[in-house]
Amino acid sequence: MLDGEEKLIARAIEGESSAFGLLYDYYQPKIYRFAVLRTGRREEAEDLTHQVFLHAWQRVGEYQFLGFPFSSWLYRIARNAIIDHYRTRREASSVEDVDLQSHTNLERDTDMLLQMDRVRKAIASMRDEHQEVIIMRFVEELSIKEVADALDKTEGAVKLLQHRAMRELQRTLDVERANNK
Amino acid sequence: MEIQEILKQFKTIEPRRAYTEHSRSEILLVRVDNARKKQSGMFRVFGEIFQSVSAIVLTSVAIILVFGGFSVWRLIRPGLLALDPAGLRAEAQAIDIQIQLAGVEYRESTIAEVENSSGGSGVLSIVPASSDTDEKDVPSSTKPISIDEALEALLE
Repeated sequence: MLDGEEKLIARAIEGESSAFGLLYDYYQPKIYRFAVLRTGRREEAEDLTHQVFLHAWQRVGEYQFLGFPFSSWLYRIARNAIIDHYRTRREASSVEDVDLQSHTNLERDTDMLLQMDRVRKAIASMRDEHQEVIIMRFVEELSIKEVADALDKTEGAVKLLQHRAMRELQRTLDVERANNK
Repeated sequence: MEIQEILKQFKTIEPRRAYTEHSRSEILLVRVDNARKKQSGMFRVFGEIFQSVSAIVLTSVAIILVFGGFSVWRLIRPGLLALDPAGLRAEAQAIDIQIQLAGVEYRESTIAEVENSSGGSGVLSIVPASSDTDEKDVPSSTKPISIDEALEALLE
């Protein structure tokens, strides 16, 4: 959570664009990562991230009545945007489009890049909910409550989902490793 | 390496700087326009609020009148049921009979007193005994007398 986030949100609700700008700077990379890992394409992730923040900025006044963290609210908007995106496009996402090397500052660590690529492909093959909970919990390190609010589930349900998702990811990676041997 | 360690490395993914700057400025500009529109439209907002409030008030009054009307009807209804025309007629007739009976008793007692005062002749003394009086002026026991006449006779 951003320092002084509540005050920034209050100022943004009053229409102060600089306050929303600070919220954008903090949350935009997170939402972008969520989008790029979910869609597997940089251009789509950029469009979706733009839509999410445009929507959030235009309707930030509605946030105060919802009663859950701002991050969860943004992830909810992002999830809905991704669902709408796939509903209209009806096109399978290709995980080949994302060039991790151009996205990260790990240019020299080739081994790490390869492992990340394997994990990313494994995540992309999982159910949507499992993908979401893995990205939110283990990439962005959101709290259980934040994830629960974002997914509109109970905290117990998120813990169970997280456990199943990690087990599935591990199994997928084991199968992939076994196939490569 | 543990999966969780690899997953944390995804945090190094970042959007392009040029995209971020362009997107940020576009989003914030849209909002600035909206904020200006909002400020210029304050009177319109007050008008909408006034319309909403007046609609609520009118609806409330209508609801109160409807439900209040029903309760008043319930209060009035027993009284209206008591207004039975047959009963009222019977009551009115009974009152008339009592008045007539009272009148009869009064007349009888008055006649008796007059007869006593006139010596039991049966002819009222208040009437002059002269024979030159008109036939129509001659009182008889069958002719009804008024209360005033009877009182005058008693005084005399």
